[in-house]
Amino acid sequence: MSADERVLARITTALAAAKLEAIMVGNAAAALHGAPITTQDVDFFIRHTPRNLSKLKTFASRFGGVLVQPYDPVSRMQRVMTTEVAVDFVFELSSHKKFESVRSRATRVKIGNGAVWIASLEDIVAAKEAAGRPKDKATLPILKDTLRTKQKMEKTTA
Amino acid sequence: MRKALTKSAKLARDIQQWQRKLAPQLPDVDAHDLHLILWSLLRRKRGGHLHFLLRQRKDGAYVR
Repeated sequence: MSADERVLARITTALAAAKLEAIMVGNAAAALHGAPITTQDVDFFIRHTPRNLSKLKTFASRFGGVLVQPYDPVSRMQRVMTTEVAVDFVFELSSHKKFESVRSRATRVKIGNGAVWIASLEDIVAAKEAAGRPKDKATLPILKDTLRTKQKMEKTTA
Repeated sequence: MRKALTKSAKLARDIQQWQRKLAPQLPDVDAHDLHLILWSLLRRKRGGHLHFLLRQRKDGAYVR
């Protein structure tokens, strides 16, 4: 297991302990799909409910991080940070796709002793396209090329 | 060491085969990018370790 997989395993364990239903989105999820991409944080999409806000505190405590809220009027993002990694939680995607809709296309990936939902590469690309921030625009070409390559590979083997 | 070389050789051969098949279907994808994408996709399928987090060292450099 690589150092990054160990970090993901710790995140997965803390999510399970907090009973927090979350879907991994962003570049970390894209990397799990096999995209040649790097990032400094791990992003999750969760429902905006009072219960989930409380579960975030449990997650932070179990993960050994600090819960902070960076200024972001659009997504009301919450961040759990350690010196090693930042784990971001958003309540809304720029693509405005609903949690249930994204989860219906997500896949469950085993990490360590647990598992995590990862959004489909199509949903990740759609969210980045809608966000339109420079950092999203920078990664879009390689994500789109990866998506098209995967689709062609699936068609070729089918 | 020999086992690792064999694995790498197999991966290199598979990437080459896929690139031959897919390059004509994806003419706008840069050949080097396609090779990198195939490497990244295929190595994950073969249980290759996941490395995606960038970390900043004390000297300020970013490392994977």
